[in-house]
Amino acid sequence: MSKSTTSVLPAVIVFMPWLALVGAMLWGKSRPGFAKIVYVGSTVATLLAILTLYPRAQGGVASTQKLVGIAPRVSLAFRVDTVGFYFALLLAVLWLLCAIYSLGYIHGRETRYYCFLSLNLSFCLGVALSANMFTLFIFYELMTLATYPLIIHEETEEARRAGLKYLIYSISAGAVILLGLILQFYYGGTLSFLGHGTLNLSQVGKPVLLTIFSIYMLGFGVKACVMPLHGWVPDAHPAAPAPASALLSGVILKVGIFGIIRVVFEVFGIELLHTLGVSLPMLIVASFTIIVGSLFAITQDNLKRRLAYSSVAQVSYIVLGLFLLSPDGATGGLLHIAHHAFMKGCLFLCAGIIIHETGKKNVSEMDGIGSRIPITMAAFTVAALGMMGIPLTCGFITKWFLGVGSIQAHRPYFIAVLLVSSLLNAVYFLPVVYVAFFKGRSPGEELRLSKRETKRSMLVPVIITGCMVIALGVFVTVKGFPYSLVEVVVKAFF
Amino acid sequence: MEHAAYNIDIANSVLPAIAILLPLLGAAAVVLIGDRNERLRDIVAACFSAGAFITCAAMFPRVMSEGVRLTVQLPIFFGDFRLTADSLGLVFASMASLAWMLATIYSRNYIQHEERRTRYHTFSLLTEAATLGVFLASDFFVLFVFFELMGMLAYMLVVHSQTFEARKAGVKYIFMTVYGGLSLLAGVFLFLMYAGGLGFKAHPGSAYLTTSICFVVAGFMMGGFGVKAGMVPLHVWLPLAHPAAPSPASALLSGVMIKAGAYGFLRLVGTFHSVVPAQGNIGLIASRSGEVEQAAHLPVFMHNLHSLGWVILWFGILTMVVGMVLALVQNNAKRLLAYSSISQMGYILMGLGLGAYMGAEGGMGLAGGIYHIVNHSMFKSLLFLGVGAVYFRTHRLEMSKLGGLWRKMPVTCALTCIGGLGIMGIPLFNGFASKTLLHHAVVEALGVGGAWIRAVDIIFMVAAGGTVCYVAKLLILTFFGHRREESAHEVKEVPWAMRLGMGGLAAGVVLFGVFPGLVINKIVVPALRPFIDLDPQSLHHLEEIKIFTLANIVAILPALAIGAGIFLVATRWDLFRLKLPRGAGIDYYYSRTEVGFLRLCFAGSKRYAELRATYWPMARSTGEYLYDSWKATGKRYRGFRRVALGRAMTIPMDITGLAAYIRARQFTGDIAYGVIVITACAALLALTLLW
Repeated sequence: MSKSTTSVLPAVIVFMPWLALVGAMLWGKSRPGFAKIVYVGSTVATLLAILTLYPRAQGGVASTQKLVGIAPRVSLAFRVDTVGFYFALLLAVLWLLCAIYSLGYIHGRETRYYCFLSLNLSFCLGVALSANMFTLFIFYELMTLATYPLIIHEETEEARRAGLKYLIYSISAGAVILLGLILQFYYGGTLSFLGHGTLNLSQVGKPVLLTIFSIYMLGFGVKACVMPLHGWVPDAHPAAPAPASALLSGVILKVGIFGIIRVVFEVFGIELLHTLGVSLPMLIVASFTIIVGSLFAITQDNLKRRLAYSSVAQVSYIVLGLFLLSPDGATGGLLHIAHHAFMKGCLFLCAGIIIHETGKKNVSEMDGIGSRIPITMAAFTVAALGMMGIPLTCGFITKWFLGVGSIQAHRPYFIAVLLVSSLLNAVYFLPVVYVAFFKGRSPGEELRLSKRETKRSMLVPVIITGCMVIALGVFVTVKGFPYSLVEVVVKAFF
Repeated sequence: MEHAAYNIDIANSVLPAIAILLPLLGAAAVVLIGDRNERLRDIVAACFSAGAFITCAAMFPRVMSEGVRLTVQLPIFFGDFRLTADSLGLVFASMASLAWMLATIYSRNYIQHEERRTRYHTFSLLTEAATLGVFLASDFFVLFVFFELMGMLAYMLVVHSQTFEARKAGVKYIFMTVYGGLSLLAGVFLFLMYAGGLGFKAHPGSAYLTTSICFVVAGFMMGGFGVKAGMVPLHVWLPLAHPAAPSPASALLSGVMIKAGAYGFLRLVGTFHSVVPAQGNIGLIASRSGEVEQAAHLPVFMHNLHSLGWVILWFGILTMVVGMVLALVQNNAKRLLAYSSISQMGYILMGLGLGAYMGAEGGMGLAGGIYHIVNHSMFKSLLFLGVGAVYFRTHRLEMSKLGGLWRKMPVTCALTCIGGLGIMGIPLFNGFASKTLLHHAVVEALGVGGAWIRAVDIIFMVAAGGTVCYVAKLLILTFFGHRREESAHEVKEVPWAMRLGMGGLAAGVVLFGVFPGLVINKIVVPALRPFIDLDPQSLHHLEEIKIFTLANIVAILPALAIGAGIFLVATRWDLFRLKLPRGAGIDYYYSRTEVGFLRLCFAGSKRYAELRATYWPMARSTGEYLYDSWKATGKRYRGFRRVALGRAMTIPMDITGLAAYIRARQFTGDIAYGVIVITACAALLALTLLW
């Protein structure tokens, strides 16, 4: 499938965000303004470096770089395949937007915030570009730790509690993954990603394979917030500052999903999973999460908490798509990684602007804020419609592929889950739009389009994500958009 | 994968795309001009909607007369997003763009007394684009996309005034729209699964055509289209939303957008016309009269179509009667018209149902339905605009407070009366022609359906009588008699633009009424082209039909008599103010369900919190107990080691131990929970392995 070329580029990309640390050391105290430029600049540089990989990733060519040999057959190594590139690109784009947004949003302890933001990007990229399960695990754990300072950034009691809860959940999950890693290495003999499943039934036997699978799901399921492992999500999101929650929901949850993707495609492989018959139980768990997560979201009054529960539900769309084990289902799931990142990113950034400009955290207080921050709320509306899967937004594309995928998998009843979930999304998102624009404004009052509804550095990312929600939903097949990459991935694995 | 006969004449043309693009550009232009130059903005809006109409008209000769289908591929979505103008879609598109143009002209003055005029024009034009998209869609995917967009965009027209009523109506509207959209989407997915494609034709030999799975598919699709079409029991949003919108928007909602639902029903029926049976077109009449010996060989899909038609027919009857009865007891003129729309959609569904019921011989029912769709879009828009004109001057919609306006507003009165005569079905006005066709369809079906169809015939007559009655009530209470309450506003004739808008529609009502033969031959029969299984003979019969015969005119007399009778009786005993108990409306139960569902959610989360409050401390104290005992052992152990390692070791250990203790005490509940989850997963796994 792919010819392997050796290149130092993947390793360089993974460590490129560390430039921000250099910036912090040199100018963090003396010239904070310039340091901020360095922080954003390092993200831009990373994005550009990732873009240079585009021609190679598009062709499905992997470039490998063995960094350190840890033990025989275990090494730290990077490689770029299409799915890794897709994820890395998404990471960099969203990180850039959130870094820009942070310029306006974050006040106080900036150096710490930006350092850990950049480190986190580096570790996430490490996960995306890892060449074997070992590297993935190492960076996964590092990412877990680097996220903690972002969650407790505001250092309130609530944030500390949420942060500790996060740590307890994630670190135990990490231990579980390590167990899976050991078992996989012992029975499979390799941890490398070879483009197909490395475990096989005849050598290992069904019980062991099922055990390894369950252990991996339990481990990665915590980050991917599959119920009942989602407990940290609704606490961590509202506690973190808005750009950090956008990243948490948009990307860091997806790192867990990325682990599941690797497990599905590169550890087990589609055929083996078919044989093991794990598809249906996972689909049921994902459906449960989708429906119950949405039901929880309905009852939340705190907007960010509501969005967090929505994330719990939406991330399981991806799990649903993957475990349909059909090409279109996988397409839908993989697409939703990017789609949900932009939609939920947009929503969280909007929630940040709402808090920053009006100080309101609860939906019940938001009457008429649409006249104060119209552009923000318009973007919020677009993203909310996307969550409901209205055509012309990217949410609809996901829904379409998942629907077609469940038909392909001969499981049409999972369409019902999608549709009920859309309805529930409408139940908890439309009231926000409704109170913001239509309620509590005297009839004579026109939209007050003040010149500056908020800082430009916060408004621009919101507008960009809002536009992306529509662009991804309309111009699906444009080169470089998720679909063109996902198509290659799915073709390679099915 | 469509049938060859239907595929012959297909040509590339950008016109369908332009028809949709023009209103979009118009919307952009309106936003750019904004409130700075209101006059220019209104003119631009009218021009762009006129442009859409002209584009549709330009497609008319090729599509209708020559039978060419014009198609264009757009570079969006998955690269096969096509707009196609076939004869059926184009009739709808032309009708929609005409009504939109006239309503936009009308709204120039009308909207002056509303706020947020730019927003109104923008969303009106956007909705027009989406509506034309529904009618020019080439397959169910495209249709669904535009259908959903139309529903969402029209929300902004419904809540435009942002009064309490409008917002309440908006909530109902948006949730019914979302629900309908999801039902339709389910139908589309299942259609894709069982019919082997998304085109309006099912793949020959697919499960959709050969098994009864088609009823599931059709059921979901009917759920989606039925919401938009105001089909009882899915009509609940309509009597709230149509009156709440500004009058030109009500005219479009009632005149055009509910037709998207009817159009969906037509396409659904059309999916069964996918295979020409080998031995020619066997219809029900032919098979029963023994002309064809193998009556049993009537293809399965024709049997299914027959049954489906039966269902649509009775939904239509239900819709017709419920709408009629509720229209009779309304006092608000726009609400009356909204219920009237429901009732008239019942006529249309009845026609389509009969068309499906009769299979290959269903030309008459389908033709009646299509003709009535076109007619209804004219007279209902006209009536809404007329009532809007009254509201524009008097600021009143309650008929009990109006009256005697014909002196002050003679032109409005005359034009509205034309619309009223149209909907009543008086000869020389368009309603007569379509109702005659529908009646012919009922009579044709008598030979197949027997007593049930006789009942349909009677109900049809009574409903027609009810229609006469409520329209008479509307016109008489509003325009004639004496003025019941003086208005604070100066009442005079409305400005020319509003008269022009109404005049255009009135001209249509009269033209389509005076030349029914022409309409049938040039518009209705070509529009039946996608129904490829229709018997050519019955189509020929349709082309030759005479509308203005004595028998047809006599046939409406009972309806008029019933109408007059109801009117006199109701006026005598004041039955028009009858209030139905709220439990009689299906809406009451929907609301109960919605509220119940939300209550359940909140009660569930409360119960969950209670459970947590009960068991969390338990889990925590257990955890703390375990931790404490562990710590005690640890202390002892450390005490033992202190001797060996000295203070250098104990200080850091105490500090970390203290920190961990405080933290861990707080989170013992979570830890216990995690242990439970992991144990449960392990137990499940063990169970799976053993099993």
